[in-house]
Amino acid sequence: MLDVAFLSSGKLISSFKELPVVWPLTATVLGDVYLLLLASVILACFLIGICLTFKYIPYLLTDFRNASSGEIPELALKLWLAFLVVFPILLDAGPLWYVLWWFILFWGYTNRAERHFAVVFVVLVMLSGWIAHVGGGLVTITKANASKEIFLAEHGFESARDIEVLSSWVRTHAGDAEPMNALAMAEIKRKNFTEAVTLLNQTSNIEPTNARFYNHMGIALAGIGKYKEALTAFTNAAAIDSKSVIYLYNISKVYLATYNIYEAEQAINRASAIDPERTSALLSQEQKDKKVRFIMEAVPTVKLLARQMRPSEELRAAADELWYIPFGILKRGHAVWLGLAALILLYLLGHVPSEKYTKICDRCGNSFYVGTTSKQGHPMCLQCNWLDVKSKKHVNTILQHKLEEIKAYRIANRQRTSKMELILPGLGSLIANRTSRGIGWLFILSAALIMAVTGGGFMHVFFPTDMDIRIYVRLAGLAIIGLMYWRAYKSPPIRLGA
Amino acid sequence: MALLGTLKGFGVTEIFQLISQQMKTGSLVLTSQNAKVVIAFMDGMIQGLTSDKWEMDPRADILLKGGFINEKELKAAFENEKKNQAQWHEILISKGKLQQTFLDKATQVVIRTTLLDVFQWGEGIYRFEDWDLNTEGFLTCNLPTEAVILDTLRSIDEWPLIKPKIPPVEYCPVTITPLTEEHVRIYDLSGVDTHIFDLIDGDKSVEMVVRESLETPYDALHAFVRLMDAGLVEVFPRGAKDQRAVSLAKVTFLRYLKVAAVYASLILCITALLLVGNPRVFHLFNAPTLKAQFQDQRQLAERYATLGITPSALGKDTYGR
Repeated sequence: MLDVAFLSSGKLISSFKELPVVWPLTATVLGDVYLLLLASVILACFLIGICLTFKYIPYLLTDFRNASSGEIPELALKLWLAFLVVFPILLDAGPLWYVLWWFILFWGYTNRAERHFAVVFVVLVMLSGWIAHVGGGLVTITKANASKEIFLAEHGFESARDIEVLSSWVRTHAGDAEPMNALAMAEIKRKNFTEAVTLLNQTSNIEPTNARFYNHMGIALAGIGKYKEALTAFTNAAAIDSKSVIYLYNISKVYLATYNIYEAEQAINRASAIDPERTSALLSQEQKDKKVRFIMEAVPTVKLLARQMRPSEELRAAADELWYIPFGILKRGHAVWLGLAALILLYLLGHVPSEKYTKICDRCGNSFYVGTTSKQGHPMCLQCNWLDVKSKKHVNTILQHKLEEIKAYRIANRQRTSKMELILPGLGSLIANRTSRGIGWLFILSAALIMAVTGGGFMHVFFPTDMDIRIYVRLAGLAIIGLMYWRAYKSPPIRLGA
Repeated sequence: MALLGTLKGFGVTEIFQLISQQMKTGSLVLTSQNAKVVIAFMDGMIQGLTSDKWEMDPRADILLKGGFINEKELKAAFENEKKNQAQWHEILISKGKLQQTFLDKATQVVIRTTLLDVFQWGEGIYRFEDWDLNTEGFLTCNLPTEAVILDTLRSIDEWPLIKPKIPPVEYCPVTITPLTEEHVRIYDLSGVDTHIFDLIDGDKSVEMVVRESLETPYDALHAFVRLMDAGLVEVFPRGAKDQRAVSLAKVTFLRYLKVAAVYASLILCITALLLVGNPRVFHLFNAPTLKAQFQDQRQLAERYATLGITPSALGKDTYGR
């Protein structure tokens, strides 16, 4: 009795029964992590945009007032300001359009770190088309590129419908070898060895260096009793992938089938020399099952994951939707142009004289129009800049007065930003020009919120598993949020005396 | 010679700071393409300054143009300087033609205006001579250097805001409403602001008010801008002052028109965007493809579960032959 077993090309694991779930589970976990990351980044960017809007709206209102010279009523100014800030709401715009617009609107007010973040964001916008493509590939695990059918056929769970899909795919995609191989494996299991050989001949023509195809060809040929040809096929496979013990193991089985015990032992010895542990495991399994069998190889998980990313109608539709949710208005293909246009616009805005924008001194809180920036890139009025560079030893009454002003602002700013940090961790830090901390916190908070709300379970493992960690993910998300609030309480953005 | 260099390498602020910190006594000579200014320091305090651009005492010009002295009296005072062994202002004060307060204020204006100018020099050379101080021909004062630095830096910082709003100097300012304590509180008006407001009588031009105020042009114009922003003062072309009522009506009409235009343009923008923008809030975006994908995964999982295929049953990987 000659049997066929399935083995992934990965490391041998203790139970063969665990192997078939590798790809669906891996792909789904990857998909969930990817979607969790995407959702977190979108939410974080949106929250950062809201925080910056909250921070810079008073500046913009001041400049509106200055520009209107008191001729336009305050209400009209505020209405126009509100319109300008939220005008994407009147378009088919997703949250990231708002963020992009806010960066453009408040560019003249932003500090160095915020500008760096804005540029990173615009680069992400440029890449968003491809990012959505990868997301689409992960999401369409069951629909696109016949990957699911390949997996089911290779592992013996194919339905008639799956075979039909595979056959149809093979007819329409003559250059795609994997579905043919999967179909051949299904044929082998049905003992339709001749059909399998026909299919595997095609696969070997398409990918002449794929050892797996030669291996399966060998099994199919052995099935119809062509041991000599089978031996050649296995030998070809072993020549292509000399580190695989499976092909040597299968060679030994051909020799056994032809009662060539010595050659069979030689093949096993060669296999043991390459990977004794694995060879021993294969032999133990053979003894345990009391069956002599050939080993077939499933498509490696990485290859199936790569296959998921191949362009297809389903993937395109899913990727378009994934892009459309945070963006909209334009098509996914325009992402690069959108990012480029935004970069050019920001570059041009960078040439508007900085004295056109109201700035608030990070030290004393006074508004100014010329000023300078501190080493950290924070806005600083000329007085504070001068105080900063002068010797601290010579403090007289005049300077004392200014230093008192700075101290009073620092205390007031600390109270204000601490409260804001407790409302939304990260908001106070951004207001206090602790930009890196603010952005970091908002990213963590966003990820925690998404974890708590979704449990990280966007997708479903199409092959049923006993594993459901959503509750743990939710609890982890809630714990992170709790920790962040505790940290915001214990460590305010501005420390006195620092 | 204690210190010498260019203003590109070492700014005026830094030089002043150094002199102040070291409490130096001596003369700082600052030379640019347009002027040469000498500033006298004693123990780090500014004691006076002079400029080669002054043909005569600049205070006389300020007081004359401000109407605090008349030309005839000034000329006579200059002529009598040598005879009386006294300076022109001393003669005028002794005759009761000039008050010491006005002279002091004029001195402040000259010194602060000159320093504000000097602080903005980007190019030039400096030379600090720390030998015996001779302030003959200087406008004397006693100013803490660091206070001057702070004041000047603040003025430089705020200048871009004021500059575009400065009214034409030949225009006539008009008060719109009497100044009350409420106004002072609401608009946070300073002493200079109220002083300027008090000087506006409807006949004098902006330039005249500035001169009469004996404030620095920066402070006076800043006050004008604040008063105009607060809606307490408006300016009209000189020729139009006789038709002020008409002008006021026209200005009021134009203001209403402007306000109406602001609201109308806002409504127009919102309406246009609502019509062509296809706002997402009206058609709450759904994702049919993604939903179908997730649903398919769930249905497959359920189907395999009903078939009894679970991870523990995934061992059917052999066939008999």
